[in-house]
Amino acid sequence: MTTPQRNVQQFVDTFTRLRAELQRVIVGHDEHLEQILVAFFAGGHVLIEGLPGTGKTLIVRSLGELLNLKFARVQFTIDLMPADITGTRILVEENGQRTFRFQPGPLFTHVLLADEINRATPKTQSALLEAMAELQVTVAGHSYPLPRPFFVLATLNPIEMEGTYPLPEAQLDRFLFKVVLRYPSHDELRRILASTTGANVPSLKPLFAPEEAATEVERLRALVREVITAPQVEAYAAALVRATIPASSKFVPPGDAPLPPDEAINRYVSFGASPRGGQALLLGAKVRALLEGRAHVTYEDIDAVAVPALSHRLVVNFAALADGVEPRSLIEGILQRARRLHARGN
Amino acid sequence: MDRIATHGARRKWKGRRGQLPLTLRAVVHYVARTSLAMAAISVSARDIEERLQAVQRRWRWRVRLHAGAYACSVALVGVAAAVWWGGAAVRTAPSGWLVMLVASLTVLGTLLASWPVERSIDRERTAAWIDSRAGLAQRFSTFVSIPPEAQRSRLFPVLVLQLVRARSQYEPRQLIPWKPTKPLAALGAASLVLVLAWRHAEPAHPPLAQRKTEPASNPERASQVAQGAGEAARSREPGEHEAAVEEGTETAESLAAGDAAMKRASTRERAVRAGQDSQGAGGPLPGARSSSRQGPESRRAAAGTAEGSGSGEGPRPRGDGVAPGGSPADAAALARGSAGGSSAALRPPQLAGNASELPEAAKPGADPQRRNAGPPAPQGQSPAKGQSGAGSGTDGTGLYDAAAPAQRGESAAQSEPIVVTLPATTFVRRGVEPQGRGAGGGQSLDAPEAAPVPGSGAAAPIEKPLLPEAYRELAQRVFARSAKP
Repeated sequence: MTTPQRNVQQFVDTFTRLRAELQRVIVGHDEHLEQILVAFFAGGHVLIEGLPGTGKTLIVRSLGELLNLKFARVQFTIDLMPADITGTRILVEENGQRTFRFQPGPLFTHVLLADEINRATPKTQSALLEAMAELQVTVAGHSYPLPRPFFVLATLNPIEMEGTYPLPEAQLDRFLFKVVLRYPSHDELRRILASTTGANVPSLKPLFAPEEAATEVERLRALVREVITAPQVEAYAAALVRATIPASSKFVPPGDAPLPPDEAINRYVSFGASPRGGQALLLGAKVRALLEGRAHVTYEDIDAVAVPALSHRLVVNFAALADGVEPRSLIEGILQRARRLHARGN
Repeated sequence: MDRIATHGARRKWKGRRGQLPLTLRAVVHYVARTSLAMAAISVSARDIEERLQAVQRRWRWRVRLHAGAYACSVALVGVAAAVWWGGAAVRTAPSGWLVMLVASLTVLGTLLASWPVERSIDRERTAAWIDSRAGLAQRFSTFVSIPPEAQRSRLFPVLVLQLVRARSQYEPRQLIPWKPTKPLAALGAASLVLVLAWRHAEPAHPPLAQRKTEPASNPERASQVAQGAGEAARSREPGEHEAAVEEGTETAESLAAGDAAMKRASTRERAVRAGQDSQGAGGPLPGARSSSRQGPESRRAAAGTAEGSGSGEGPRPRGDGVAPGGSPADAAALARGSAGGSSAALRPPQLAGNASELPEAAKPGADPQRRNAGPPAPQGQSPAKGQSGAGSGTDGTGLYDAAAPAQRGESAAQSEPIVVTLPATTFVRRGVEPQGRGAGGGQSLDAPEAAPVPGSGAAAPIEKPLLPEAYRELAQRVFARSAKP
């Protein structure tokens, strides 16, 4: 087996073991667990929306433990200040001299759980922007790089809207995927109850040694970017992203849509996905390709990650809220049209 | 794959391991291993590329084969339809060449139309098609379409290796099997249809140009025609024509002579009819008492009565007068005949021949229905047997009816067969004036395409030959000579 092949196989093994270990702890949510792992190896961040008690925090904490990476948790509240998460300069006295020294915040970790991120003020939320996009923190004019890998898992509580601050679009755009956790089914709920109330609580076995965990994860992340993407697949992803933008938008050139205009998009969407959505599509598709032992991306890989990669990037209008139209259904409609066109083209 | 490729380098490297320092050994090992691995990948990539081109070539040939075969099939069916509906004329007339030209253009146009299809079989389409057929999960299309810089990816060898491993799934012969069953079946079926149509449109007689050399297909009919020719060309010996018929060398000359005789007989009958009309009540036929000065309608009605009332068993009595529109020479000849002279002088020798030579249906006493398909005469107008009922001027049995009196030994005055009736299958010329208008059951000259009556002894219709002008002039000259008193 050649080295590239060995690398691919190693990636598949790591991913499979991670998923299996998580499934031992997290009952149900298999699809969401896979999406979280895909986003993790793609180098992105995940926004998890779900009701309290559905295992959001457990998922993030289990992931940190399994990878043997540094894990931090920040409970976002309304009085949380940016310096509380980014760190601040404190005055210290050393050798009779008082100097300011940077005290890193909880952002300086590998896996960060931003719990109930919508409870913080926009100012605090914006403190995450630089960290998530550029993997660095700037304090008092001095930039501090974050440790690699850096992975943010933010949770949203959709119930209590009182005293919350919806995430701005720019913030939402930083998240590679948005995963919506549903209620567990009856059988899943029974298994959750059985596994969490017994005497034998399942323990997690880390996959990597602490000293090599970050390196291994970074190597696997680098391998993801080596996956080959054909030009036609790139064009397909770009067409999907472009199809989310309504025709009435003044920010796009007219007559540029590769797909025919969608009535639902024109009616319910105010703003479509940004180019980051296309990046999320391709990166997620590359992880999925590697998971299947392939060195190239297919159309099916793009389709598989389209909903978690694009749905939270659509800004729907009041008509969509009134009609109960969710962005997920809009993305699925675009996918159906794109599949038909693609099948006709072939 | 690359394990095999680098195997030789490893073996070579192991032999020199002790001779090189460690760092240099590492460098050589890395270079040799990397370069050979890349060489193996490039070789494999070239192999995949060649296989893609092989599939393209095979696909193009398949398109050409199918297009050509189906186009030829359509063209053949078109030609078959033209031959079927157009008959033998399509094969000889200029329209036949037109059909062939259209068929050729159809084939050529289809082949030209298949050219864009061949051009559309480009690398990307072929690769996508191979992916779909071989289940390669878009590996082939990715391999074909990625830019050169993407080939420097660390995972490109994995893609090549996976394609090499799946070689058996995209063998050109397996992807495009050489089974041209359907196009060849279509071609064969179209050819069969054409053959059937060709045989269906086989003419009763070959064209005139072939008839000069080929023996006559129907000697009896040829002898009938030759009888007219013998009368027209008196210089010809009576037995000469039979010899020619027997030898099967019936030529266009005899046909032309027959044509002239037919014309002459027509003129003669008109003269007879005119004479009868001028005789008025002196004629033996009750229905032929119309005067020659009467209008054409009444004359035609009278003639129709006389001609249509016969049973076809006896010759038609001639008139004694001179036909207003007829030739004086004919009138004189007819007058001689009526004065007791033998009508055999005016008849062809065969008319006075032995009845045993006649066909069964034409012999005296034979079933009239078989000999003449004419309707029965009206009451009160039916002439006596042997005196009236000349039948149709074109009745096939009329010719033999003229010979009947000679067979029975009747006198020439009673049964002068002045009217020479022509067989239904006689060659018909458009310019000839019809004689048997309204004739009972007989074939009218107005309808030369009429089919023969089954069981009447009449032969199959013969198409009108296109005689050259020379033959026409010859016939006119012969007619003019024979018309001299």
